[in-house]
Amino acid sequence: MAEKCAIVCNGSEPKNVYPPFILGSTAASLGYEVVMFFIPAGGKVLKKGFLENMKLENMPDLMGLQEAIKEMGGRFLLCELALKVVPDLTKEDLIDGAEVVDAATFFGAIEGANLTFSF
Amino acid sequence: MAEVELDTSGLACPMPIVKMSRKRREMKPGDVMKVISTADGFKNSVKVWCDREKAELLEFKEEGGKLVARVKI
Repeated sequence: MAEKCAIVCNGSEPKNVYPPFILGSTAASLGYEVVMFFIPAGGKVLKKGFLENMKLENMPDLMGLQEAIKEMGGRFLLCELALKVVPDLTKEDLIDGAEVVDAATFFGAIEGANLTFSF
Repeated sequence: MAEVELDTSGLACPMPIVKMSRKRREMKPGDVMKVISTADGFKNSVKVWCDREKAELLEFKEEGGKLVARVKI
């Protein structure tokens, strides 16, 4: 079984968003099984259109990184509380492949993770 | 054994490595990937990628101001 890398996204500012997607795509490219977890404060990152609209000069395209992570088997887990507390966020608004989970499910998903990051 | 070229000129971290992994999915064992990069960290990252992905770095050189790696999958 592949080694695992768990990355937690704690917000929706560029400083919270770029590192998870850069390190997540790198880890996936290096053969790690990547699990990305978005707490409510980072919940809107998984809303359709969010990644397309965050663009910083000289920084990589976030959608491209997200697609690469997904293509290489990475998972995007959203804390289910986000659907209760993030304004205007419903299941239908989420990017394809996002999974709504509770905390215990996240723990199960990262069982045995070799690397963990939090931003 | 096919040789394919992947030009990542102008792309910074992590794109060269990400593109290598995506390209690899279209290749067969024994095929060679020639990767061109202008990213500062590429010389090291291609070595890490080869170690992790059990690929062989056949050649690494600078050519016309660009970094060129040939990697056997």
